[in-house]
Amino acid sequence: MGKTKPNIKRIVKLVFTPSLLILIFIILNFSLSIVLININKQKDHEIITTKSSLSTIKEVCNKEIKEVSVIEDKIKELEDIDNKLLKIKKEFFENASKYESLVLKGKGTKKIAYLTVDDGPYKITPLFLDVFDDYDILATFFLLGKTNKDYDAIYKRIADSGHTVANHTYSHGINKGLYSSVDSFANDVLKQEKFLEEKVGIKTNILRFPGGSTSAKPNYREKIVSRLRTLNYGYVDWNVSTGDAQGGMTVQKIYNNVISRLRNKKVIVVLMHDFSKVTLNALPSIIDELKKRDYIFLPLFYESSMIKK
Amino acid sequence: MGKNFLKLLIVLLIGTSVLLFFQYKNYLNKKNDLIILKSEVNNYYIQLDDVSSNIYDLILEEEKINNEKEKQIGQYQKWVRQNQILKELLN
Repeated sequence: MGKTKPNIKRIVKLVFTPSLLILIFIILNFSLSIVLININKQKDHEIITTKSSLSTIKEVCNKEIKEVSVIEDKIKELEDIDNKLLKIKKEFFENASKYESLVLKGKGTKKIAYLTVDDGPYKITPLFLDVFDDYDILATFFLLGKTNKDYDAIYKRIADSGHTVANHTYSHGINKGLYSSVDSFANDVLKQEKFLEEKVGIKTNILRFPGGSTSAKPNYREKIVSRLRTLNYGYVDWNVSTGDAQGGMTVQKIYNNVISRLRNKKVIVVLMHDFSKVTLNALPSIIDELKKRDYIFLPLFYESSMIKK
Repeated sequence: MGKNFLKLLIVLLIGTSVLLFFQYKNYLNKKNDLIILKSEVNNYYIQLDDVSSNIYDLILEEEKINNEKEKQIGQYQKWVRQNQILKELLN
C-alpha cells in the first residue's frame, strides 16, 4: 500500500498534468480554429460583395470612359467645323458648276435662279434674310460700305447665313465720280473689298457695277474690266429685274416684272433691292412661282458662267 | 494506457494546431485579398470621380463650342442640304 501512493502520484505527475496542459491547448486551438473559420466565412462574404462592387464600378467606369471618348469626338468634330464648311462649299461649287454647264446645254431637269440683292444692307435686310431662311435658299448680296454700327450685325448675319457676299463698290457713287476714271472705280472696289474683309472676314472677287456694267462709259468700261481682271475680279449683271428701283411699284407689278421676263431662260440672275418693302412682300410669291416653274436657287460663285471675267 | 492516452492527445494537439495554422493562413490570405480588392475599388472610385468631373468639363466645353460655332454649324447643315439637291440633280 505504501508503494501505491507514490505510484499514483508519479502517474499523475507523468501523465495527468501534461495531458491536462495538452488538452487545454487542444481546446484552445480548436476554439480559435472555429473562430477563424467563422471570420473567414465573413471575409468570403465580404470578398464576394467587394468583387461585385468592383465589377459594377468597373462597368460604370468603362461606360463613362466611352462617354468621354464620344464627347471628345464630338468636340473634335465641332472644332473642325470650319474645315468641314470649306470642304462642303468647295464640293457644292464644283457640283453647281457642273450642273450649270448641263443646264446651259439644255440637259438639266431643273433650271437655275440666282437671286441677287443690291445696295444693302438696310434696316429691313433681316426680313429678306428671314424669307430666304424660310425657303432654305442661298442668295447673293451685293453690298455697299455702310459704316453705321447698326448694320454690323446685318453684314455678319448675311455672311453667317452662307449667302454669297459680293462687292457693289464702297460708295455706289454713280453721280459722284465713281465712273470718272479707271482708278477711281478700282479704288472704290478695293476699298469695299477691304471693308467687307474687315466686317465679315470674307474676301470677295465678285462684283456688280452700280447701275449695271452699262453705267460705265463705253470707252472706260473695257479698261475697267481689264483692271478688274488684273485684280482677279469677275462681274455680273442680271437678265431678270424686279424693277423695284423705280417708283410706284406694287407687289403685283414686281411679281409680273419677274415672271414676264423669265421667258424660256434656263439660268436667270434676278435683280432686286433690299430697301424695298414691296419687293420683300413680293418675294415669297416670286419664289413660289419660280419653284413651280422648276427653278432651283443657287448663290453666285466665281466659277459660274454668269460671272464675266 | 496512460502513455497511449498521452499519444492520442499529442496527435490531437498536432491536428488542431495544423487546423489553426491553416485557418490563420487562410485568414491572412483573405485579409490581403480584401485589402487589394478594396484598394482596387477605391482606385476605381477615384478614377470614376475623375472621369465624371472630366465628363462635366467636356459637356461644358461642348456647349461652349456649340454656342461659339452655332452659326457655322447651321451654315454647314444648309450647305449639306443644298449640295444634296445638286448631287441628286447630277445623278
